[in-house]
Amino acid sequence: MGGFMKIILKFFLVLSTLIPLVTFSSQVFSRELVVWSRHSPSQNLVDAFNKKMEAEGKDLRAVNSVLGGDFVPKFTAALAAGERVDVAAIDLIYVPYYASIGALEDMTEFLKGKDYYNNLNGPMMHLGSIDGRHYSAPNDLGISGFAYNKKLLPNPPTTWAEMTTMCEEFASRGKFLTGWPTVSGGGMIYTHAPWGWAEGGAHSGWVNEDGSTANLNDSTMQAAFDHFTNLQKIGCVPKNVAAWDWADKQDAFLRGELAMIGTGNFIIGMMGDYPDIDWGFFAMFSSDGTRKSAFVGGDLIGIPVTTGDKEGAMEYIEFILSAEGQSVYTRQNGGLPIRSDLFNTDPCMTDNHRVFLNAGDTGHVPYTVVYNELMEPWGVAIQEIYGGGNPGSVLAKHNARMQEIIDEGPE
Amino acid sequence: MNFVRKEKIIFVLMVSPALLLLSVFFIWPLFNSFWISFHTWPMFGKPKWVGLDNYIYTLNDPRFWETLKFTTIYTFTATPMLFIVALITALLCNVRTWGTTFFRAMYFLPVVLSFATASYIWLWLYSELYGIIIYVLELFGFGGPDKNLNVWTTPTSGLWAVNTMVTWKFSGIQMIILIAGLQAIRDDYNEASTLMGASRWQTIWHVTLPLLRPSIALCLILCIAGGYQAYEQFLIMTQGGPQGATRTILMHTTDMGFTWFKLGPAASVGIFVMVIIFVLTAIQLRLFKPH
Repeated sequence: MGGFMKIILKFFLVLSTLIPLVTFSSQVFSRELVVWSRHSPSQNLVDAFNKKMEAEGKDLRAVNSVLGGDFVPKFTAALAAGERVDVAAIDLIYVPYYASIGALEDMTEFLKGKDYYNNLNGPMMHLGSIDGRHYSAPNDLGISGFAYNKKLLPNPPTTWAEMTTMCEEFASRGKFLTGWPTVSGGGMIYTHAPWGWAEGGAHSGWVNEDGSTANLNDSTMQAAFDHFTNLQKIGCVPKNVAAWDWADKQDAFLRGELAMIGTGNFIIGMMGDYPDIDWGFFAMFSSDGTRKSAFVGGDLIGIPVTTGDKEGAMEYIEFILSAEGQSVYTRQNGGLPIRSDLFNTDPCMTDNHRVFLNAGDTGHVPYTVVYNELMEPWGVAIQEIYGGGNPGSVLAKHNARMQEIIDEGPE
Repeated sequence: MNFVRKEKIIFVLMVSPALLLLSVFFIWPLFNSFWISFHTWPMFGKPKWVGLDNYIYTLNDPRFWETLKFTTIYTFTATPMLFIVALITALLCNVRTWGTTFFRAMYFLPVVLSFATASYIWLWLYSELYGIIIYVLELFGFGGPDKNLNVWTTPTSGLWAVNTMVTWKFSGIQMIILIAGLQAIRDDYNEASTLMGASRWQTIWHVTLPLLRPSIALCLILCIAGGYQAYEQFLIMTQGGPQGATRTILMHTTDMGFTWFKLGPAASVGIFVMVIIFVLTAIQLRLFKPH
């Protein structure tokens, strides 16, 4: 990128980070880590880290900037401008891209030196790795699953055939069994694609293991769409589901109009706000109910090559991965540990948490360096299917488009 | 220092702040867009000269043509809606009578809102659960016996829903431009027309509208240029759906540049849009040139 462009970008980036820097503290520390996150709960971790540093008498403090939905463009612009960012907690699906362009520091030796190395979440580690080298570590987990209302649905379905029977029963009473966020590509890969993965195994519908081949039209993914379009035809799904977003189906569930919805472990944190709902959770399953799957989402944490304090960044990440750091996340309702050795020892884990944790064991997250661009044909495909299109032909058409995008690769 | 030289220095000093802003926020980005459009421009790494490859890529990209087609349909449906509403309100609010100022203010009020705010307001009005518009439409039988009308289920209904919001939001400024044009027309033209036996409608058609040509041209140029730059309203209200059928060319440009990180092709799409707006503006200026 040109020199003048870099100066302009730097100017605005400095301006945008000035306010949190100024408001953070009246005290100036010689080592201040610039941490960029997309979620506001990350502030609890930063506060806990700073307290620990203070208690240990170290002159190192982290300053957190929460960027929300604009994280990716802002972080990418920061990299392009050479702006200092010491630690970045990135939505995991974008990490393969950042790792592929050399934007993240190699953390392999650092991670392999930890006792808990083999306990770090597998699918997340896979996403942050290239040729066996690790460029990020798990930061927090967001595993998908289904929530159901026990008053409306005393026992959740355990096979697809059972779900169809329940659907017929609900439709005969003019009630709705379920609904989904058709217009949200992200929401649908999170809560819909795992039905196909449960049926056909990981990498069985979207892209293959190394992200080089699109397999959206895999027969097992198609079977999952056939199953849900059948529910739609039976009539236990709201008629306008083709225009529904994430909030629509969640609101309908919270109002007691839907018996079950796809969601994530974060919804455990909302249970207290809706005491009228008798909550239950289950993992997405294969047609015969023998295999489970989930979208293993969340954030990966990495050290951008624009860091000014790699050692300090390592110290921060070490804290995040420690049992102490993980307990900060799990104390927040719905938070899950990213280390399997903490699953059974963390006192905050309830049976509800374990539904998601167990689903995450066999869960999956697609590995691709062009995730954002693939979301476009995926998003259009699901809208075409639930708008009345034939799943087989729609998936085949958009699979071809996905393959073109993969072959083109990023710029 | 002689007077002329002093005048020149003052002139330069007076225009330099505006020139500086224009250079930094328009001329430089424009030049840079041209430059980027001839390169592979990774966000991280060195740019590489690729000549016209990005333009060829764009012309072969079906998403470019789909979004351009939709943007053109939007522009040429929203423009007449906007213009007709603005012209009617301008003619009504040009009458010097009690309450005119109040109505002018009322019609102009939505203009002060941002497109994002207006979009969210109308998103609520169109809500399947709480929206008053949907409630009223369902009273008239829309949505069938189940009363489950949702305007976002088809691209056509989504387009007209957004067009209605844009008309409400933007017709106020057009009305002000047209009122300014109407007030510039001397009263004796209308009086002469009336004396010659023309009806009110004939006067509007044969006297007022021809004399309003410069104002009409300005309104249409703003509408069409604005139409091709449509972004927030569709991003918020339709999110480009259903089935990606309401994605505008600007949504495609920003996706290409800042979501898919393909800055070179994104810059070339931006250049195409600029050329389209330039050509359409030139055609309109020629068509509406005063006789």
